[in-house]
Amino acid sequence: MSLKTFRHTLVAAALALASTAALAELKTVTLSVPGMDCAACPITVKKALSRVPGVSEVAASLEKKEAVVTYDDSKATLDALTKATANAGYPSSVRQ
Amino acid sequence: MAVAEPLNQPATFATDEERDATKRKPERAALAAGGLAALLAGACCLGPLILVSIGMSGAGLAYLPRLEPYRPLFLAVGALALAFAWQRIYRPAAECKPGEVCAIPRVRRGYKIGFWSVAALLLVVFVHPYFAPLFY
Repeated sequence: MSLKTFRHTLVAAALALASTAALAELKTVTLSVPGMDCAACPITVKKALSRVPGVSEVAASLEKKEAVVTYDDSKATLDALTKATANAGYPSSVRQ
Repeated sequence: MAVAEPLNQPATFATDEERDATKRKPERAALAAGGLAALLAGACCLGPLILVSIGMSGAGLAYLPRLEPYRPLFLAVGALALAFAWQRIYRPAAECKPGEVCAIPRVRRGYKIGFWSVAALLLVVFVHPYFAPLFY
């Protein structure tokens, strides 16, 4: 293996590493929460979502009846998020 | 209006008069009804929040928000029950017949504490929507 090819391999490996790291980075999803229609509801939904491991940020909106969640997808799954709101009394689904 | 279950009565009374006072208990029924109405009025919205906060969550919580449409009804029933209790507990002692709750200072004080506890609960349930946005 020439030095040049070795370098290329190294760069490729570094890029691959960087992209796996990028895959585990934060994702943002919008959950539709139709049952969230009282003043205290967004607090409950926010609290429930914040407790899911891997979730770093939650913004719940009463007007739009949705919650915007930022999470680490290597730790949290969409299923865990919708399950968390359902177990707090407010079933939700991923808004496309 | 919901009929309240009789609460456990204390086993001993200082006087016969006090025992009679706890037997005749429209005040107690009114306070219990008011407290129950306040709990039901808050169940839809504060219920899930409190349960989630203390870590008790589950699919059954989905039933609580369904009480939301009845919130005004529960608030009204609670307010009526409290108004009745107020009128019974706070009328001048001179108007009370012997043996009635309001005639005995010690018993009356207990009912006053009960009244204000239920009133505070109902107030929190009534005003929480106006303060909730501060916690978004």
